[in-house]
Amino acid sequence: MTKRDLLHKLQSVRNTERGIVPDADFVMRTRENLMIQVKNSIPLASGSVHVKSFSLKTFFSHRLFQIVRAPALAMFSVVVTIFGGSVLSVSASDRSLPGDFLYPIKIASEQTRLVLTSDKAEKLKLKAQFVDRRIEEIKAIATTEVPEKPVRLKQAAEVLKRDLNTVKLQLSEVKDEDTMAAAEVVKIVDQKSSEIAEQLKQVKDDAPEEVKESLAEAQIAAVHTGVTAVEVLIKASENPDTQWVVSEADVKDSLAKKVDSINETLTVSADKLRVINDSSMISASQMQATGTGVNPLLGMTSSTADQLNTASSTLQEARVLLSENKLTEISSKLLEAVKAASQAETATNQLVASSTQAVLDIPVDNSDVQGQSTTILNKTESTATSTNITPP
Amino acid sequence: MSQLIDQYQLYRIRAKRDADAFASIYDRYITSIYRFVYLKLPTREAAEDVTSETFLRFWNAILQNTEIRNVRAFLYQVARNLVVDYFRKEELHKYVVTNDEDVTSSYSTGQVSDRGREQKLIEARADLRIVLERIERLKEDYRDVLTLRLIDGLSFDDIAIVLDKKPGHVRVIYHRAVRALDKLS
Repeated sequence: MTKRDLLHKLQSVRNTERGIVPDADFVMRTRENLMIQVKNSIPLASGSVHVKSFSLKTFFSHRLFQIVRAPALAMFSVVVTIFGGSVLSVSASDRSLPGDFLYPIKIASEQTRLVLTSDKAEKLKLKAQFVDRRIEEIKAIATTEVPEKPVRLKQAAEVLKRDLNTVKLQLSEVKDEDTMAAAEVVKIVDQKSSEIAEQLKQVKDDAPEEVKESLAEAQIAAVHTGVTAVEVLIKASENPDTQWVVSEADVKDSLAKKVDSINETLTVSADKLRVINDSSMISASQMQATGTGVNPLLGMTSSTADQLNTASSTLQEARVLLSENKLTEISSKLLEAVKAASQAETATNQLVASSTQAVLDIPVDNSDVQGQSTTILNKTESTATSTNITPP
Repeated sequence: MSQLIDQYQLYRIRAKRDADAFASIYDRYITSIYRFVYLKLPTREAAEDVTSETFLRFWNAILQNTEIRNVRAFLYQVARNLVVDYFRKEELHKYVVTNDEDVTSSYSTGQVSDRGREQKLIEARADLRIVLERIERLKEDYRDVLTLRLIDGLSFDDIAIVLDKKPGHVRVIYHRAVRALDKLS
């Protein structure tokens, strides 16, 4: 039996053990018997039992007391001084959104919880929960009618980006922990970052134009965090202490999902670009016919196509590394592909806006042109599901 | 936080003579202690006896004013000693696999047991026997730390209390034990 088989058997025993539940009759019977004995012996015991004086040290060990005392008192004074110590205000702030009066209290109370957590893995888990709150805040602002929506969305995206960067730093701190608890938390972070990137993509599609860039940056930060998490998982999958929490198959599965997600972004951008290219050709010929000059969109589409090509070939290299099982080399390649894909996406979106404007500016029969721009937009939506990237 | 609650319950028992505080500790740990001993003992009855004896000894320790820094680790320590005593008394040197069909502990859902679930318990017991036989050649310290960590999921701090060692020493033993597994294969 190999060491791996042995660890699998241990895991299987552990899983079974977790499912064992004692017989309810036995639990109740034993409880009743014990309680009879306890109630009978308590009065007799009271004389001999020496009760220590009540103090915080009754509950904390001396070492724990020393560690916790200083930061706890410091944070307590800060919270009392700044927020007047109102528990109610902290509780009310939980529902606040970026831009609200109570929002800074929400952020500060999260910071307090983080400061009071000493275990690195627990800290990461807590921060991941806070990142979840950030995406919920973004969705809440995006789906409800709130004043100054673009400003608040931008602010929420900035806070999310900052929190994701903190998670990334925390990931590098737990990298050397080599514990099962840490590996399990990193797995959660990996999964959550993919979900966040996906949710941001959906919010971004319907968001006002001026906040799309901020949301795209937050999306890159989410993917970046996911890739960093996978780097830690790769290490965990090679460590005998943690490899049965994170297997190589888990890591490959996560990497494959990331490759697919980047590929999807590239496909959508490529389809949009193809539509813009077609419309540019049409408008260029119209400009030529009316003698109003050369369509500038033609040059822009070709540079965006180059960006898309770069992203696509980088992604292809990442895919090859994955198929060759070169897991340690793939993360940098994926990050490169994400950045390139995002730049291409931003450029494509700017082109979509410019092309609509350019079509409207052509001094020909307006009814025809309006018809064409509508066709362009419809075509963009209808081709977004295509999977082949063939830049124009 | 869980340790803090335990210490508060202990304080209630000792200072306020609060019997319900003992009941709270019992409710909190009965399932985990039963799980801890169940697969290590040959029959359900033995597991039940050892579990109830564990809580009785815990109560006696409270009466004798024994210092209990960590209730959870203390209970595991008592349960482990009782399992060892059981085999010593029965003069069994090996863990025995039973195909006892009278096993009635419910599995996972708490519903009435069926043969499929019981089969899983029997297989787990057999797996445990295989694992234990396999690591029999390791030092006793290695075996204890490996099973407490990988099967029972105890923290290094808790294992340190159960085995009466320092947490740092337990970590070292654990890493050496994992490395020693390589030599077994």
